[in-house]
Amino acid sequence: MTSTSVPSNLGPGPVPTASAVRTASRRRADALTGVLLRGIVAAAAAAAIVFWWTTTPDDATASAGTAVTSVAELAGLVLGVLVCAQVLLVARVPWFERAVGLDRLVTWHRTLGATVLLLLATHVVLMVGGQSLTTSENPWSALWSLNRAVPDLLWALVGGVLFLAVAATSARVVRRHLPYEAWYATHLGTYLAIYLTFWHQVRGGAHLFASPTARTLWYAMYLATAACVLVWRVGLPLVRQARGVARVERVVVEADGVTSVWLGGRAVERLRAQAGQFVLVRFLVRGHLGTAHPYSLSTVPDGARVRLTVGALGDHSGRVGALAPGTRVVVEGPYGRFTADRARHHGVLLVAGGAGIGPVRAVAEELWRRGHDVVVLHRARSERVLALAGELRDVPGLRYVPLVGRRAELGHDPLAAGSVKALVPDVARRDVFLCGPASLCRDVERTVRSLGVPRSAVHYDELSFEEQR
Amino acid sequence: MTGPWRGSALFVGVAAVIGAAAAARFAAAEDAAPAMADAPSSETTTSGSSDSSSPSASSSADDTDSSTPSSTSTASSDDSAGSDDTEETVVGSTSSTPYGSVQVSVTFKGTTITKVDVLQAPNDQQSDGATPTLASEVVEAQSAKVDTVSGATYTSEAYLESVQYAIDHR
Repeated sequence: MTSTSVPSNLGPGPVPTASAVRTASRRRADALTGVLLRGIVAAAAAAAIVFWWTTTPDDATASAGTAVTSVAELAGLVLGVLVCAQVLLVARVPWFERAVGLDRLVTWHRTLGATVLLLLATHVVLMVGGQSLTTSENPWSALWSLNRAVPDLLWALVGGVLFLAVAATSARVVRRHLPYEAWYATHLGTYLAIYLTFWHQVRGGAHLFASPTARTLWYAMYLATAACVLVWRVGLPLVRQARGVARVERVVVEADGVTSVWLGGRAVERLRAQAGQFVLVRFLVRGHLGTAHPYSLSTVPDGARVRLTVGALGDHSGRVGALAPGTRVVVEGPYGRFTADRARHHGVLLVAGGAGIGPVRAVAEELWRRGHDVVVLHRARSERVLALAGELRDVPGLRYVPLVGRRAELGHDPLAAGSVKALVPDVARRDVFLCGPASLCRDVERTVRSLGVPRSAVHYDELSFEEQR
Repeated sequence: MTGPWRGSALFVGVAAVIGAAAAARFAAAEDAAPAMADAPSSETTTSGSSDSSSPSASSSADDTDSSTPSSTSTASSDDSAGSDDTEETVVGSTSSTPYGSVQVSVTFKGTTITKVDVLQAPNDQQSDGATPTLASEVVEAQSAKVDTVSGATYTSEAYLESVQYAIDHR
């Protein structure tokens, strides 16, 4: 639709979104970068294998022990490459952020994390096993004879234990019961662990020690990774903070357990965020200092202020309502690809679960401004938690359908395939945006897929909700 | 949505690639092994258990007849102490270093060490540079108790360990 009248409840102002000019070619370039990034990681791992191949002596098969040790060395080399990839994925490199999106980068980081941990175990077990076979010792004394033979191995072992601690606190089961702060502090130990394990690679690794060229490349790989972390995870936030802060302007209770925080200030003016993206926010006040939390924008940014809408999910976000206007805020970002750019069809269906309405509300407005045919389904337990409903009701050309009530009370699931089909008969020809609890997103994705929506037309931010606490 | 076992699946894939690469490399090494045997100036093959018993290593065995003719790993050492002028080559132990194995053979004339040959050593600059130095020092000192070559500590220690073994088992 091409309405030029802007309803008062959908935010004021003109339509200056720079994002609207992003074209399909840009989208293709981003997709290519995503493939390229994975290709580079795979190529680096392959290079490690080739390097191992050329530097392995032919007598590596002289005994079972030396053969096992040789395989352990290969596992170690691949491990060294993947550890760098792990760090780079979450180093906030702008190029990766734009092309892949922080949510997918973090998902890859989690996946690769499990791989790295298992590979680490493989490397250690094979190393000790190989030595044990060669010297006919029990594994324990083999470890100690290795320790005498390989420089800095003791530090590497300490680093390995640190890696285990990081992995243990990141496991789904444990993380759920752990305060964010504890997880974060342990995760910082990764950098120390990498440093501790680095030296046994260059000084003790048979292959790297033997080839000065490879050793130089190895140093370069780790130094480049460290540089990325220093520039984008440490330096840039500090520079941004020095050049102007954001401040809390207003705190509004939208519904039971849903609070909006309006931010203004120079840092916000420079943010250049799109509707549906999120920012990492650190409120500079006691009780919030230790951690940065991801919160989604719930309005289309107008260049002067942004609104973050927060559901009271964790102990931290529950305290957001107590923030005083004027509180200084460090804002990092924007991140995320849950934006209007991803819509390819004229028709769009947005499904929000609970406080997931925040980013959905923002994306809905942006899509509506661009002339899409927008339907919003808003699922909530009760009327009392139905936040931001007033802003979407009665907008010409935008259909807003609240689906209120517990399933047990209703006697049916309002998001079951039949119900969705009845509400949105042409769903198969629409892009579908999902934001809400992970279980709801999974269910709705399955439902709309069964109704004929192709996978490429289903959009959600894998971080957007799960991490907002 | 992220599958909980995706990381493990990726690991299985990586492990399979590593295993395949290792298998292929070791198969290539097996092919190269016969060619390798000719390369070093040694009397025994590197595998130590092959049946190519070297004639020079058992020159003293002719005197006694008591030793097994195909002596390889420790060479024949049953000869009487009297045969002073007979040349005898004894193969030392295989000592492993992080960079590969080291094994030497020590040639004695009577009780005098005349020569140390490298049967296997890591294929790197440090080892290539260190082994001639070590050989001359051992011959000069008539002992394995000589200084290690700096920059090639592992190779040196393994080398001298192998020499000591040969001296002990002569």
